Amino acid sequence: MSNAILSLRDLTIHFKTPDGMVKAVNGVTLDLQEQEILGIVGESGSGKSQTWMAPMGLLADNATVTGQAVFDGQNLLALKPQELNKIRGTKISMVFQDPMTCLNPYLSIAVQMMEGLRFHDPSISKREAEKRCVAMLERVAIPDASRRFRQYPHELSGGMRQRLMIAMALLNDPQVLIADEPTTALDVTIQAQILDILRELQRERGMSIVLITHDLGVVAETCDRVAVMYGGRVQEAATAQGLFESPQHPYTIALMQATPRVEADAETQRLAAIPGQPPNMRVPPPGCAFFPRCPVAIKGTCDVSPPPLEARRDQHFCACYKSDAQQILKEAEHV
Amino acid sequence: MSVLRPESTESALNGAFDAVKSRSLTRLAFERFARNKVAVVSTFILLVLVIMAIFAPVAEMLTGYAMEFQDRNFYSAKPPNWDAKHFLGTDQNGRDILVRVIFGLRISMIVALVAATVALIVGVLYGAISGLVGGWVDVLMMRFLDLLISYPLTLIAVIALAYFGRNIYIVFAIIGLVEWQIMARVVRGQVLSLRNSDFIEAARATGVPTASIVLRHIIPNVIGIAVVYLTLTIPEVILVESFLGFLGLGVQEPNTSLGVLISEGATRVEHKPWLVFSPGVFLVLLLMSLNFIGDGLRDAFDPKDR
Amino acid sequence: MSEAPSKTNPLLKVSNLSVHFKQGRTLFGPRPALRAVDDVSFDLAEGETLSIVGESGSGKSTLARGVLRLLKPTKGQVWLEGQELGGLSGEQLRKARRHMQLIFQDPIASLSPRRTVEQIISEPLQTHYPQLSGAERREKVADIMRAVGLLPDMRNRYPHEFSGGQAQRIGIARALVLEPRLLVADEPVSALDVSIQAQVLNLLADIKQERKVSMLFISHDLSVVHHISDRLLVLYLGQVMEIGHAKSIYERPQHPYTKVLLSAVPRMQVVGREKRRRIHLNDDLPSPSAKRAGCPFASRCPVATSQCKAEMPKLTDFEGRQVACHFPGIALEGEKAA
Repeated sequence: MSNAILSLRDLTIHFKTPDGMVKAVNGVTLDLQEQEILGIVGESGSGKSQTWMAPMGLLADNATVTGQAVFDGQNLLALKPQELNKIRGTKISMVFQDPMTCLNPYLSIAVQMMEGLRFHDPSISKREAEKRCVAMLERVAIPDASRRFRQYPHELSGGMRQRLMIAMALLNDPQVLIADEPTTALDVTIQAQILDILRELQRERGMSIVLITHDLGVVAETCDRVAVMYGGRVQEAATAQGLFESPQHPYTIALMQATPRVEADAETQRLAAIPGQPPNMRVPPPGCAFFPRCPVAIKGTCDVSPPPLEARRDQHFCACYKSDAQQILKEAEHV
Repeated sequence: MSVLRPESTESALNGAFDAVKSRSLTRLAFERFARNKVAVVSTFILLVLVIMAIFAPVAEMLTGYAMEFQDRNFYSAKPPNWDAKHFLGTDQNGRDILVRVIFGLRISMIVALVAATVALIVGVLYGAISGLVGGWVDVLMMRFLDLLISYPLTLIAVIALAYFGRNIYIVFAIIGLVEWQIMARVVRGQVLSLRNSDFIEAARATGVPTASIVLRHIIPNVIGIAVVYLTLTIPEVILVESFLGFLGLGVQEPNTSLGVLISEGATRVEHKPWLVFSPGVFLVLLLMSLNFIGDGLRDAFDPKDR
Repeated sequence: MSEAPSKTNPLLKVSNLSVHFKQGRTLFGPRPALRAVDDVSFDLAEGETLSIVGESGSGKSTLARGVLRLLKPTKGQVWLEGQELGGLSGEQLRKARRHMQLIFQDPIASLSPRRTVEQIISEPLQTHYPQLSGAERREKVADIMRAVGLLPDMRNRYPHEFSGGQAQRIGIARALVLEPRLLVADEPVSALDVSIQAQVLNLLADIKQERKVSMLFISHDLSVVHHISDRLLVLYLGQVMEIGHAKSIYERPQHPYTKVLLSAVPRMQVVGREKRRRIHLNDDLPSPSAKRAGCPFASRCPVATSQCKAEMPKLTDFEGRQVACHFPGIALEGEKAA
């Protein structure tokens, strides 16, 4: 019943820099299903953002992209810029971490919202456009929407600006919304609100959302499915419930143990830190990117070639040679 | 002193520390500069020009013509004649252009160096004091700069010429005194942003005395940017000198500069283009190489890159 | 007025500290001052860790800098080991700084970019112990580097050659090399990735345990401070909302703001997330410069009354801690009755 709406096939992104080639993304194959919120979790340098900027044509000029990103029967990576422009903002929209980088401080919110709406559909009358914009602002719980509509971006609080961005992204009724760390710059109380709005909107409109975040808690609260990225690859992909109840990949397990929680018992003062540093993507490890930090790594296997992403069970994929990593780590924890 | 638990130690140790040699920021900047082909070629051209200017008398020896020597056979500006060793032709008085251009280059460079040194010293001091002291001192110092900038440079130079006579070095020291404004502003901006940076606050929080903060943390981070603006100030000064020369206010006969040579040649450009061509090419080479070097240095020192 | 330090005296005592910022003048007279920190009092025992938690604009970083006297407080006193810092001359204060050190949020920005690790870590020693020989200094630097998990071989490298986590270790080493009594950590892990964050938190926990240093740990993240705090201070718009033992606040928050804050932290638990109630707040963050008579949280508080808007509640003892609320322990909508 669930069909892929946006499919990434063997996506690879390399950046040419003066200090050498940065191999940011190395063969990501992932489907965004219809009507789901897909969480992409990873730390900085995992390639989680680039993976989704590529199909939108938003990468810097020094990037080389190979592979496919199929949307609506078209490979977005092969489209001309003007063709991509028609899709961007109408069928696929994006929301970023810092709303102020996407808003023009010198133009009123009204001008900026209407511009986006009428650019893609010039037939809409001004009055109609206004009505739709204000309704959208109300929908994202901006109080006093018709007054706010006339204001300038700097007159809004950070949380309101991010809701404005979401409203603008959804004006053209896109099928896909890509949200890149939409709540990272916000206070936790405001974050909770934005996440709730995203969830509600997804249900109401039956769209698909990609939620890129570094925060496992945000994923657990919001997403239907999750892909964990590390070293430019998907290491584990599963339903949210599957992932949090039974994580398979040593990295996922380690990340969960390293994440501080409010609900945990504080008497255990120490967190289970992951030793070492994330890989340098100029010279990524030849095998599994997590090999140098992995507690269950097999020398001679894991450091030779990267493990493929394989199904462990229904809807649960994991890229690890060690199929019993979970049991081993669980036992170690109890000792 | 006890070592903490092995895990926290080990974790940092087995980090991805590649075996690259440690490189300071300055070192990295020069490596980036070396990758900039235009800048490297410009450096080479500038070096050649500098060597030519330093060894200007060699040109007299090679051609056999002294700078002031008037060749009777070549009066009233003759085109290049290789047999007579007038490689770039002669001027109205039968003087060899190649030799005169090289000596002109020399004067232009000396003058630029004088002005730029003055600009560097005054600009860095002024900017650093303004930025460090802050408050109303800063406001006052900056308003004074605004005042200076509102006076046209050429006007000041002309007034100075009238007052001091045509001693070109004094005039250019004065031009230097005016040209430091940009330097002062840039240095002040840098100092201001440094003053609010975390590592300065860290030093303050540790109780490091102010003098040491300036010496250890502020000055080393200002020098790079000052050098960049120095290389960008020099061509500006040369241009001013050339312009004064063009107006007839530059160095006096028999000395010459690139600007003076161009102004002499410009009057006859239709019939005797070589008169303006040779000094023009040298001036363009000099200005362009300096500008490209300046740009290259600026890109190399740009902290945004790291 | 300073009392002799005794066993019962806290290492750090902050009383009625306020830091206000002047905001210039308008045509019609001076603009009201920004009340970044308003009348904050607390103490910190030896070896204790007090976490100061608040959202952006709560004044937590200003509070830290006011305590360390990197900012001049508008009002109030800070006693460190019985010595009132406000009464010290500039030179005395500079010398006293060796007992209190600061760790920064942005680890790389806090290290002087053109100096080597060795120069950075030894600067405090040079400043306060100029009599040490070069060899002694190098020895101390190597010791402290090992203690924070850095190889002494890295001493000649420059800050930009380190990752965020390693740079933070350098910052910690610089703060510890003088063996201070008080360590103020201003969001020390919020710029770091989760896996590195845990390493640094563990390091700080070890330091606390092995060096008996007292720590003020400033953070916006309740889950981060959960693992390191003995006590917790919740700050909102420069004022203390709730202060007490961390464990009891986490288990039974009494101030509405603390409750909201705790309920908003995302949990790593998928099952039942639909039912979990997150209390929503409006964005009506009052300006910190606005004159207000009542509780700063009143404009957003789900249970505020007219009394809250008119009268600032005093910090009073309640259930073994102090709460600044007219209705401490009041149940919020959707909350299970205790």
